[in-house]
Amino acid sequence: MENVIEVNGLCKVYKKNFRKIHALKGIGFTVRKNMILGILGPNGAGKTTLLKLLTGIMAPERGMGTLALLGTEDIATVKHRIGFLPENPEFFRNISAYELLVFAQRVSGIQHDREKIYRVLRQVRLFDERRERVRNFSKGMRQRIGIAQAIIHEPELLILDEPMSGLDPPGRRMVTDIIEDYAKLGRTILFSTHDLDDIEALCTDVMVLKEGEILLEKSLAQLRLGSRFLIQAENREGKFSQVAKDTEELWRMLENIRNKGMRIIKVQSGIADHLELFYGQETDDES
Amino acid sequence: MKRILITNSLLLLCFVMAGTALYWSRDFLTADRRVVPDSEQTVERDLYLPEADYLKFISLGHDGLISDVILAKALTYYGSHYKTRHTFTFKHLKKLFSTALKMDPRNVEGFLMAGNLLSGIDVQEAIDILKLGMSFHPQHWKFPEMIGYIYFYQLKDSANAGKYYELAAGMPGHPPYIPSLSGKFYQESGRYKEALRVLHNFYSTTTDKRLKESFKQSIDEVEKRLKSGAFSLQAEVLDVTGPISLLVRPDRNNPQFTLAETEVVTLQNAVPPEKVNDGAWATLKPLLLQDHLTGYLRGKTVRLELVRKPDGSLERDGLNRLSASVFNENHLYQPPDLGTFPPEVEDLKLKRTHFQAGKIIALRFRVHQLKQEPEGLYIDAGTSGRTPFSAIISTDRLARFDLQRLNQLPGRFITVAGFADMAADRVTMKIYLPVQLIGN
Amino acid sequence: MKANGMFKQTRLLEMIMFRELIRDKIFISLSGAAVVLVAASLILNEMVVGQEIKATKDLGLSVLNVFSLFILIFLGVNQVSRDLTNKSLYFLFSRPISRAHYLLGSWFSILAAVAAGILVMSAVIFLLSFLQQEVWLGGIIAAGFLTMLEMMVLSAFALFFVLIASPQLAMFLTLLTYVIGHTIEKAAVIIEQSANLPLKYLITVLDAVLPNLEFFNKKPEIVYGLPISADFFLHATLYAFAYALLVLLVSMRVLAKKEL
Repeated sequence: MENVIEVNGLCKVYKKNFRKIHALKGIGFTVRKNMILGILGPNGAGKTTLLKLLTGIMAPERGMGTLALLGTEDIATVKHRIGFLPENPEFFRNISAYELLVFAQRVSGIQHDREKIYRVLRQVRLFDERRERVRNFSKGMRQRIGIAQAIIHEPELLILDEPMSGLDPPGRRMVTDIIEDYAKLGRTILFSTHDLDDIEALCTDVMVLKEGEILLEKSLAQLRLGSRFLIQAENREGKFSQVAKDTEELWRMLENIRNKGMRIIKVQSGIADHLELFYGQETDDES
Repeated sequence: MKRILITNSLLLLCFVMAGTALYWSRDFLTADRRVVPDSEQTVERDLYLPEADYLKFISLGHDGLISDVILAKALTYYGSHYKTRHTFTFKHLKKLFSTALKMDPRNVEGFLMAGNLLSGIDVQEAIDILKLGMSFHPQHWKFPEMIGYIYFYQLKDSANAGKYYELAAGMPGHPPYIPSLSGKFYQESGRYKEALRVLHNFYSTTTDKRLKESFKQSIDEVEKRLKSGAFSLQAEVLDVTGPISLLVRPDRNNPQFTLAETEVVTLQNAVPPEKVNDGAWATLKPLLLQDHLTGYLRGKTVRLELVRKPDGSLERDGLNRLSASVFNENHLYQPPDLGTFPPEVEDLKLKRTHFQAGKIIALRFRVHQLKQEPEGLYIDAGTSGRTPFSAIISTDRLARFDLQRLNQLPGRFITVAGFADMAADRVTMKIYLPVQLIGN
Repeated sequence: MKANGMFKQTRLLEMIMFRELIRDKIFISLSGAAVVLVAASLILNEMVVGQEIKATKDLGLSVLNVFSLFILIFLGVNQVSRDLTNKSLYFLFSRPISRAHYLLGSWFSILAAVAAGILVMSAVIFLLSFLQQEVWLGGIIAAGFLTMLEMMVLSAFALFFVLIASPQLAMFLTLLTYVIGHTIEKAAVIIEQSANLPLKYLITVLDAVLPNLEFFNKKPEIVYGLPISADFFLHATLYAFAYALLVLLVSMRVLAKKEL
C-alpha cells in the first residue's frame, strides 16, 4: 500500500526570546493510504507544529529531516489535494459562509459548484446560515465552517487539528460521520485530539507525541492485542494505579484492594489505559 | 463593573479635554461671526499664524486648502470689523493675506482682492502685496495696473502710476486703454519725454487702427505742449496769497530766464471761486480753498510748469502774476471739488461712507464738550459717535465767534461744514466762520 | 483537480480580501465622513476668493488624498495585522496559496479598496462641482490617478511595516512615511545650507530610502487647470510601480522567513 506521508528525522526549532525551543526532535513515521491516524499528546508536545509542517504552512528547514506528502517533497504542488482544519479556526470576518466555500473551491482549482457547496453546508448544518457573515458565527459554527472548507474540494488527505473542539454532541457526531464517510471513500485522515474515546472510536492508528518525540506509534489492532486493565484506587496515603494483564489478574487485584480497605476509583479497559501510561498524569488534569 | 466605571470615566475625561481644547482654540479656529459693536475699541489680539515657509513645510501637500482657510479667516476678520474700518487698524490683515497667498501663489484673484482691501487700510501694504503677486505672475497685467491705480488715485504719484501702467501695457492680455493711460500719467507728472517714448512705442507696436489713431492724438498733444515752450523749474512755496495763488521763491539756477527773487504764481488749472451772493457762505469758499492750498503746498518745494511765449517771455496776468501748473511730489496739484455748496447735511452717527479728503461735507452731531487747547477750541462730538470727531476753531479765528453762544453748545445738536481731515485717531474739521457752525 | 496559476490565485485572493475590506464598517464610516467634509466646501466657497468653486476643488482633492490614506491605514493595515495575529493565515496557507500570493493579493485588495474610495469621493466632488455649474471631470480623474499611484507606494510600505511591527506601530510608521514623503523634498533643500552634518546625513539617507510622495502632488496644477504632460504621468507610473515592487520584494522575503 502506498505511503501518503513519509517523515524521516524531522526537526523543528523555534527561536523565542533568544532561546531555542526544540518543537520536534527528529521524528519519523509513515502514514499509509486509507489510514485514520490519531495524534495524541499533551500541550506543547509538537502536534500543531507537525500539522503545520504537513500542511505546508511552515516549511521544514534544510538539513532538519525530510517530509514527503502524496509522493513528493514539494508540498506546494499537492496542497490542492489536502484539506486542513486548524485549531480554533479564524476566517475573513465580513465574508459569508457561502462566499468562503466558493473561495475555498476555486482556490483549490475547482470550478464553482453551487450544489456541492449546498451539500456540504447541509452536511455541517450551516445551510440556513449560508448568507450569514462569519463574524456573526459562534465558536461551534466557526468550527463547522472550518470543517466545510476542509472537505469542500474532496481532498485525498484530510488533516484536522482538534476537530471536536467547541462542538456540542450533535456536532461531534457530525464530525465522526464525516470522518467515517471519508474513510469509506478510501481517503487518508489525520487528526489530533485530547479525547481518548475519539481515538478508540475512529482511528486505525495512533501516535503519541510528547516534548517533540514520538512515544508510541502503533495500530489500534496491535494495541488491543496487548490490552490490559487499568485500576485506580486510593487510600489515606494517596492514589495508586495498577495494570492487570488479563481478567484473572484483574479479579485478584480487585480483591486485594478491597481487603486492604482501599477505595476503587476507576477500572478502565481497552487501549485507553495503554495510552494513558504514555500520556502520564497530564491526561487526568486535562479531563 | 469596575471596568465599566473606568471606561466611562475615561470617556468623560476625553470629552472634557476635547471640549476644553475646542474652547481655548475657538478664537483661532472660528472667525469672528459676531459684528464688533460700534463702541468696542480696536484692541486686537495677537495672531498666532506661522510663516508661510513653515506652513508649506508642514502642509503635507495640502497648500491650496490651507490657503483657502486662511483667506476665509482674513475675509471674515475684515468683515467682522467692517463697521469700524475707519479706525480699526487691521494689523493682521496683511499677514493673513500674504501667508495665504504665498501658500497658493497661483491665486490671482486672491492677490487682487487683497490689494483692493488693503488699499483702503494701508496703501503701502496694498502695494507690497500686489508686488508679491507680480513676482509670482510677472506677465499678468492686472498687478501693475492696480499698483498704478493706487499710485495715481491714492498716493497722487503720477510718475509711478505711469511707470506701472507702462509695465502693464507690455504684458499680454491688457485692455486697450492701458497704454494711453500710461502716457497720460507721465504727461500729468510732467515727464513729457517718457510720455512720448511710451506713446511712440505703443503706436508702432499696435496693429489696431483705432488705437493707433488714439495714440497719434496723444502724441500730438504732448508734442504740442513741448513745442509750446513748456518748461519746469523748482520753487519753494513761501505763502498762500489767495484761493488760487502762491508766493514762491523760484530756483534761480536756471540761466534761461530771469525771475524775481519771489514771484506770485496762480494755478493754471484752478478756477477762482464763484462770487455768488449766497449770503454768509460767500466768504467761506475762498477761505476753504486757501486753507486747502496752505495745507498741501506751504513750505513745500514744488515743480512749476510754465509756458513761454513765442518771444521767449513768460505768461503773466494783469497783476503781473505768473500762470503755472504746480506739481507737488510728481503730482499735479488739483484744487478740491467744493461740490454743492452748502453741502447736504449728514448725521455723524449714521455716516457710513469713508471721509474723503478734499471734499466738503456737512455733519450734524450732539456736542459732548468744549476743550480749549493751545492751537484752538475743540468742539468734541465725543465717543458716542461712530468716529471720534472734533470741530476746531483755531485761536486766531476765535474772535469771530460769540463765545457766549459757544459755551451753550454742550449737549446741543449743531451742524458743521467744511473739509474733513483724518488724523490717526480722530477726524477733525477746521471752522473759520460762524456760518460753518449752525446750531439747531 | 489542477492547481491554478499564480495570476489566478492572486486574483482570487484579491477579490475576497477586497470584499472583506469594503464591507468593513470603518470603510462606510470613513466614506460618510469624507462626503460630509467635502460637502462643507459649499460653505467655504462663499468665504474664499479665487476662481469659482476653488474651495470645492481644494477641499475635494485634499479629502480624496487623506481619505485614501485612512483607508490604507485603518482598513488595509488593520486587516493584514488581524490576519497575522488571528492566525487566519493558516486557512489560506494550507491551500495552494503561497506567501507571495498572499502578499500580492493583500496589496491588490488594499489598492482596490482605495480605488473604490476614490471612485466614491470623485463622484461626490463631481456632483458638487456640477451643482455649482461647473463640469470638472478631467481634473478629478488626474487627481484620482495620482492618488492611486501614491497609495500604491505607501501600501507597499504599509505591508512591510505590518510584517515587522505591531499593528499600532505599523499604522504609525505608515503615517510617518506619508509625512516624511511629503516633507523630505523641502527638508533636503533646507538642509543643504546647514552646517549640521548628522542631520544632513539623516535627511540624505531618508531622501534616498523613503519615497518622495510630493512628486505625485499636482493639486495646484489640477485646481487651476494647468497642463500636465503625458510624460509626467508615465514617469510617475513607472516610479510608483518600481518603488512598490522593490518594497514588495523585500516584504516577500520577510514574510517567507516569518514564523506563523
